[in-house]
Amino acid sequence: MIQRYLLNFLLFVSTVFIQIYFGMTFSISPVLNIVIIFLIFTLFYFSPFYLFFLIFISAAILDSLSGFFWGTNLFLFLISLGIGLLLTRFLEKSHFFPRLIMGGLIIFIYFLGLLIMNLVLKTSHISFIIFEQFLFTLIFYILLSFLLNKIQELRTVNN
Amino acid sequence: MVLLVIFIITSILLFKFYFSQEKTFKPQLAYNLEKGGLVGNYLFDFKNWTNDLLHFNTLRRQLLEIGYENIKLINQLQAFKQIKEENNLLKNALEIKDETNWSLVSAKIVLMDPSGLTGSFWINKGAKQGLKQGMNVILEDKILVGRLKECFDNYCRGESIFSPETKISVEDLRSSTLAVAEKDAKGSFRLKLVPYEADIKVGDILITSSENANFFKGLLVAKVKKSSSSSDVSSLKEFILEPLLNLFEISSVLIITDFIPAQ
Repeated sequence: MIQRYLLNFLLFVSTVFIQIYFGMTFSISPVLNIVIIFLIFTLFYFSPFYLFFLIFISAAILDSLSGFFWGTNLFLFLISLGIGLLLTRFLEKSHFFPRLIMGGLIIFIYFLGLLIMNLVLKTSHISFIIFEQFLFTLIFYILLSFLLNKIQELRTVNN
Repeated sequence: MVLLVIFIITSILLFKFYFSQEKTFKPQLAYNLEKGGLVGNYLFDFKNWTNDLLHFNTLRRQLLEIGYENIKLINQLQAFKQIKEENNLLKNALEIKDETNWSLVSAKIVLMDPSGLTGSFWINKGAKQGLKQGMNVILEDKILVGRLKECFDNYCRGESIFSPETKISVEDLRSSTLAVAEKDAKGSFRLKLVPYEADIKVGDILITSSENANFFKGLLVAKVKKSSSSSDVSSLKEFILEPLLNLFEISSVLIITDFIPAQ
């Protein structure tokens, strides 16, 4: 049990590290948000309290480095993943398609929130980039879900 | 029920803590990431490498264009040498000081915006080195990078010219025509609402003009890439610009410390 959490945390640290350095960009361009994808998978397999802890760390890092209004990422992560958590009560999180729908909705809510916040803060110039970023992240999440599902199927067949 | 109450109370306390720690989190995170950024530097190099690989054809085309431009510039240089000598002679005669005698502080870019939405960057110099909010950040060849947005003791966060809402008053280096460079919805620079009679041509270099509230005069901004006519206002035209800032090769910058624009 603890081993699983430790491994997940190590994976989380490397994901954040990759997001910070590999996703770093000087100009405004759509960047894959792998942190939110990692948090979605954590939502399906780990405790909500642990997820809450990871949300705080992710939000602190993204809020600090991106220069957005302080708390933007925390607020959006909590809203989107909170709704995701609520959905796990109604949808079966151990099945592939409900997971795909929930994950897609979380990504949609996060980027919709970002879009609305930027419209409120009157930085409408980056609206299109947010939309592109939403599409990139969603496509990557779907591909990753398919891949993980395939691996799981193969492992079950082998066992 | 008890667990829920404990959870709510803890959440409120955590929120309170989170929102009160902005000034602590930011520099501390920059410090930790800079000190432990060895693997990150390799990742950054790898990212540049993959980017070059993916844009191989563009790079080859750019190299060809640069080659042609280089020959053109060598020819121009010969003419400019004579003008420079004449200019120096006149300067000496009039005892005018060199205009670009700025106080500069060099700094290393340690982090950039991981979300790709704000165009922010972090440098490893801060208030202790005399840096202040609003100071202009440039490259060695006087290319405008942006300006400092917030400064902590040892680190500063800057916003590049690619940040949303950036508007720069520019001047055509050839014809001295004034215009405003703006970002469009896709993030590229444009010269908007330029009168048809304005003397701006493709290939012209634009520098910051004295009308800017935030930027020093005479910093290189962009090159006019192509003309695109504005359909709704027939008497005006638009130009698409190519910023002179080369995004992928910046590791260190210079900060002009003797100019702080009005906040």
